[in-house]
Amino acid sequence: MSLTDSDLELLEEHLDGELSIAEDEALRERMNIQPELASALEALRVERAARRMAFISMEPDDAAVERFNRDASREIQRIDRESFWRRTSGRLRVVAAAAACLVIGFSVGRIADSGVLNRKPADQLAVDPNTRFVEVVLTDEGGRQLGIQRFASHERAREFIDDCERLREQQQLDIAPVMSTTAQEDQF
Amino acid sequence: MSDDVKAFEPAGAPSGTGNGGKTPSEVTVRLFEEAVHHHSRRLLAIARAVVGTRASPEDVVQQAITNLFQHRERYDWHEPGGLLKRAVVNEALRILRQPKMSIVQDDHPARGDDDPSSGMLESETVRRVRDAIDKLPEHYRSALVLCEYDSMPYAEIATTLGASVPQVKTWIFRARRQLAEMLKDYANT
Repeated sequence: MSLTDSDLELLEEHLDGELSIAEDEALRERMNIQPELASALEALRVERAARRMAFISMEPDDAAVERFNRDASREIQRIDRESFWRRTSGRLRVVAAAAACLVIGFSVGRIADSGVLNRKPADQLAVDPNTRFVEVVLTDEGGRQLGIQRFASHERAREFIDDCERLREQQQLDIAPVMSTTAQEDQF
Repeated sequence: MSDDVKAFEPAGAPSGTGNGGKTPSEVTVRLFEEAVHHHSRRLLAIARAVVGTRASPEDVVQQAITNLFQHRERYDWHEPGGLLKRAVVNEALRILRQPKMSIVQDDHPARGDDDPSSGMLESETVRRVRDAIDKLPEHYRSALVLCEYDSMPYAEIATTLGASVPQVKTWIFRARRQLAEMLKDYANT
């Protein structure tokens, strides 16, 4: 009687120690009445011994193991050192961020106390009605008012008008608005 | 625990007593090193069996150890041997999946016996079996080395290779049959 694949599988599982006690017992009983099963088991044992020898021959010798262990230890120490510095620098970053927050908070408090933040913009921009100034009104071809620029003196207003003229000539824009400049001395 | 090396706590875990004033990190490093030293010979042989001559077993094991140590907090270290073997097999398989592989010199060629007559025969047998093992598909090889060299149970091999137990049984069975087929002519001489 020839052996099937499942018989061989059963024998291999027996050699691997994967069969239960009951399965082992059943196999032994079968081997008693099927001698070819017992000889197949012996053949598998021989094959297995040859493979085991081959695997053992892949083991490195003592010197190679020693060398590897030394290298591995060095690498482990290096990674440990690196992770220590990474952890430490991470903690330092948190401390530095906290310190920076404290400094910013303290500075904001000081600035707020000085009253700078409480000043109203209107205070700074308020125009003294007694102040004299020159207004330059910019208009387009149709005479529409484009904007008004105020100057503290005639000289500054004249300079601005000259600049506008120069700019108009340089740009030579087809649809550029023609600026008619007028110096007004409302409050002179 | 099957291994002789005791389990260790990952860095940051509360340290036990009797560490000689060492920090948890120092204890972790020392125990990790001990585990590696204890298993390195087997790990190198397993790596050699899986990658064959397509990569250096030392590089495979070194990379696996580095990966494991970098993420040591993630793992349960009650059985360091199993973790190390799993890391090595996975690293070896990862390397084999890379498209371009160069052939490396075999650092551990089949060792002969001192007895010249039996030694030569044994050495020839070992060489042929090793060559045949090298020709097996990578998963067959991995499962076989863990089963026959490391005497790992099927269930543990399945966990290591991320496969089911029936799948592992099939791989091992086919590996054995393919080897028997490859070595048939030599066995008959």
